[in-house]
Amino acid sequence: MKRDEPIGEDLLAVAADVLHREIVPTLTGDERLSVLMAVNAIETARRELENAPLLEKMEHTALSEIAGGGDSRGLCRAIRNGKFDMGDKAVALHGALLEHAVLRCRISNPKYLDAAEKDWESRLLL
Amino acid sequence: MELDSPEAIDRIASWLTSEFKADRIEVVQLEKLSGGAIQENWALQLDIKGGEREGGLDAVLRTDSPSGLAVSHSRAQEYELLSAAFENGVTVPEPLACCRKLSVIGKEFAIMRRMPGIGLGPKVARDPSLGGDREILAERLGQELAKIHQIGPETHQFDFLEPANTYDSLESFYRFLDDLDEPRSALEWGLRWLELNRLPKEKPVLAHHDFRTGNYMVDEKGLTCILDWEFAGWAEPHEDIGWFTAMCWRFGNRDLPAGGIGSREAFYRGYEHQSGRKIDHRRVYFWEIFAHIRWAVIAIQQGKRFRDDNEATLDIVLTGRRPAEIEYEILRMTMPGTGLVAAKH
Repeated sequence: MKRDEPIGEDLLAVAADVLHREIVPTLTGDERLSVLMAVNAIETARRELENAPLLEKMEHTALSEIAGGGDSRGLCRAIRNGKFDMGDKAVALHGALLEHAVLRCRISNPKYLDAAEKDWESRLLL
Repeated sequence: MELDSPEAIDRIASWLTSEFKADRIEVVQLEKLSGGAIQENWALQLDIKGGEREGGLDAVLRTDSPSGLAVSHSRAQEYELLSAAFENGVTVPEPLACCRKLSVIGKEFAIMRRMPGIGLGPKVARDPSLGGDREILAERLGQELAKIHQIGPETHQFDFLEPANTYDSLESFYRFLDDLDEPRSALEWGLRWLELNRLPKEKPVLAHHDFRTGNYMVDEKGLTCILDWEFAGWAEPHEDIGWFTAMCWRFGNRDLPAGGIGSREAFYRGYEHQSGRKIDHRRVYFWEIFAHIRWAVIAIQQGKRFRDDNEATLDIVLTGRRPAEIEYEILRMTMPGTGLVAAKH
């Protein structure tokens, strides 16, 4: 069924934008900080809604293809028990975990991710 | 009772009068400075008549928050640690008195000298006008940490600390992870990687266990004091070093490894000079990874608190979302097929 429009992601985008452009400039001190944090929370929620299908797909792929089925708890147990210490399994799992973490970061803190990726890329080139 | 009620103020003044062997003490001011989930700090301005401390005294009263989560040391235990640090020349607020009796205000409290300065992490990291020359500050912080580490189990006994020879940071983190009761594959990966790259344990020292930007105060000239001794305990010295230089504690200043305020070289120089020991760069790398795992667990625990009474603050919910970036750094630092390297960046 078609979602009601504007969809949730768009409501949040507009709300965050209005708060940031119209309200924040009128505030100072603690109030300004509070509203900036609120904008942060709203934008995070928006990015989360936008990326929810992709996140789920990634997790499903990692668990079924790389972890050999089972659930997240099973995967954690297997990691702790040394099943992913070496070889192709380790490389595949680490790759999937990193890709997943990158997407989660893009949702929770894109500014952080941009600076971090730049930094890590330059280190790996040295 | 409310701490700033006339009754409480009377009782505190009375207790301090006998503690300080004064004739009379007037509480000129009692005002809340800050409060967290665990403890509160109040500015306590006194006018003391008679005795050795005659005159005005600017102090801080530190006591438990109403919620009283018992996750760290008690105020009295903290006071013991603070006193040992003070005696060893660490730059801390001077401990003045500690009330272990519950009969005065219904809970333990400690009194220490009030120190000037700003302690707020993001502010110190962002504002270069604070703390004087930043490289000198970094070196000084290294020196201070080394002084803390000069306190060891051979010379000091704290009966409330987990014994030096049994405490294992990795082991306790497996426990914390289990207690979270939710699957965190990135953290499991990180802990396993550390397990595979363990080095022989160092001799335990008194570790501050939260030595970082945000837990020391500076004025425009330099360091004024080191705070928050509630987590101190016996541990390997490099654990403290790694906590201080960890990326997650640089407040966005990725290229300033010393607490987001200075260079590794300056910080190490101060530490090595004071301690007479060389810092092991690979051990620092190990403990920086551990620092991220530890902070991630704390952030997750904080995030879960938003469902509790009065805890649905923006601060708490946003902290709960930090693990994504923290786990990202852990994964970047723990590539498969790699081992410990010298912590450089």
